[in-house]
Amino acid sequence: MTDAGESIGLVIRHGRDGDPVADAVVRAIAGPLLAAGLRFVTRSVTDEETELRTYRLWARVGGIAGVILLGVAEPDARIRLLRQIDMPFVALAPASTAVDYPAVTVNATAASTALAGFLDTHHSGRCVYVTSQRVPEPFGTDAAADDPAIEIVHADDVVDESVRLGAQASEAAPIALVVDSDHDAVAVLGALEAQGIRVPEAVALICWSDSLVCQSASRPITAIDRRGREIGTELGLAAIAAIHDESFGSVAAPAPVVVIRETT
Amino acid sequence: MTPPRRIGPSSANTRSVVLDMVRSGGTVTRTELAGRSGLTPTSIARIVKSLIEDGLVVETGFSESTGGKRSSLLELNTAGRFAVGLSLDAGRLTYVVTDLAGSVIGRLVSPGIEQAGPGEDVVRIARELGQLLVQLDIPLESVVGVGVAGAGLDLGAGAERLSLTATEWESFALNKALEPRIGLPVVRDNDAACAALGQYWAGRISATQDFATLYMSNGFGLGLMVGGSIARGASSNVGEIGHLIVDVDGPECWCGARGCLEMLAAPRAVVAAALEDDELADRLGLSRDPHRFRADFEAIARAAAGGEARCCALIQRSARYVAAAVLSIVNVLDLDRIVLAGPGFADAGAIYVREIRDQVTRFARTRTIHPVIVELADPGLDAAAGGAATLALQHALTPHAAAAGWSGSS
Repeated sequence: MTDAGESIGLVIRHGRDGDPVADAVVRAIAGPLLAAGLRFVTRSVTDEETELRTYRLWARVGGIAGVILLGVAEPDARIRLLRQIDMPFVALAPASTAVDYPAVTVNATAASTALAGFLDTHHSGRCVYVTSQRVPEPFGTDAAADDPAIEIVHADDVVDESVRLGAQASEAAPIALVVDSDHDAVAVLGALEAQGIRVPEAVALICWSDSLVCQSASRPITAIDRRGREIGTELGLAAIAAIHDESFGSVAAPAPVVVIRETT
Repeated sequence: MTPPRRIGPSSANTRSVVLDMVRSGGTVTRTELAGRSGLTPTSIARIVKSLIEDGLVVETGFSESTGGKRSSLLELNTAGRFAVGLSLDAGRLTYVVTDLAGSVIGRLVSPGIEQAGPGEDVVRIARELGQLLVQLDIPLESVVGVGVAGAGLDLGAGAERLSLTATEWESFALNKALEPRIGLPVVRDNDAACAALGQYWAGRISATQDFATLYMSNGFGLGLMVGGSIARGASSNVGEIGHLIVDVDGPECWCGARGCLEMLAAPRAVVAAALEDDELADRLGLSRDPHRFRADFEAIARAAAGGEARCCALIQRSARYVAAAVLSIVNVLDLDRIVLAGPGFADAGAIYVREIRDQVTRFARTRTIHPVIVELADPGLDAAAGGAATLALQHALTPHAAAAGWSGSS
């Protein structure tokens, strides 16, 4: 095998690709690695067994100096394996996890806290989080789970449910709708406007994860910046420290912020 | 119902067309393929047999019985072959490995081409590509080829160099240099065309819709999809939107004209304007190094996306010129969809989208007939590399589609 220099590796499980926060994290990791003369390899897999097989392969063929884990469990078979094969690693881990390895930790309720703070100061009235699924960890996704002021509605069709809720609102009795995905948020905005429902006067619309899609919507959509870029940069720096045996410990991801745009 | 696509059994492209029908059809039967192609069941059976033997198509079960013998269901064997796409960019090289369906298997990001000349970079590319395939556990013999997306014109080997944005790469015989080093066929196209092709192949845009992809890296390019094929022109150089004149009294361009879009709105121009403000340049930590203008542009774009007023004004000014150019393209070609792609739009793409959308909504000649959708490709940074992998797949497996591009030559 030819040696093309050292890389940091990342295995991405299907289902996480396409999440705007995960995308932002992955894109940002490359920045500090390239600046340090490293390369960045990613491999998409469907299951844990394939992920474990990939790490064994990387240990065997060389060229991968260390790996980044997006999310960890307790216990985590990947961490056990990476220690066995002596592969340096860093992880993006929930703040609730006890870590004894280099990690960037994410408080799972931080985005919810940011949302609650925003609603306290910018919205009076009902707030409903409309979701078709629970977004996978570890990007801080316990959406409003412990905030009784925010109702959670599970719906197969987020757009239809949002329009139904929006039709019950008025400028005298406004409602704030929070939706998971940026594409859903754009669709909800279009559907509300098509129904003649006034945004933001009757319905305030907030997307759970900010992205270029939210920013470039026909009316830019208020969204929670989950700080994917900063998290990715921290992970890249942590990976560099890990492969050079430098002390890194764990650092907390920066707190999410609500970016106010035209829909609130 | 779609009418059958009549193809002659003696056509060299027959196999390619049938494979493309399996790809676009998802799950199909031999009977359906015969109906769609106009070929006889015997011809279809023979072609499908060869596709199965080559590992390109698999039988996945049987259709529901309608009284007679149940038909075998055919699908693309997505893991049967792979393709590599490579985006040559000053900031970074991006390699994308896809399966037959265009799904991404793996990626590699490595330092860009701004430091060394093509001769050195080709050696590095060959090494990196070889190592990536090993790390993804993909045998070389299952890779159909490498598509390369790069900026600038295709001038051919040894031609006179002109471009500020693509420097020596425009006249470098990449295929000849890279193919013997990697043992794979190499096909090259410009980054804008690749990005458009990637959007189309990934199924994000229907084959019946013509659209353009505006790509921004060091400069600008326009990829134009017409009838499901890339428009290429007389010399395969369609899309030099960077040299659309948007100000006849504007600054002189290296191409010889005045007021080209590239001189007024490309990252280099934005950075030059920012450097006139020492306080801003210091605060953003701009390098003032002409070789690092892309990093400086990213810093300005990020600050603009975060609402910094002076950076917003700089990006907005660039966006107004870009919107004027896009409006002209929309008017000339009667397009109803524009996709923005490339690293130049990664941070402040939303500002460009809003400005373009505003201008075409207000001024497009066809505005009372149809809307023009303006959107960002997702994800912007990999669009060209993903499309380049598609280019390699097309050339190797469905050459009839690769060759069908609209040409402006008479």
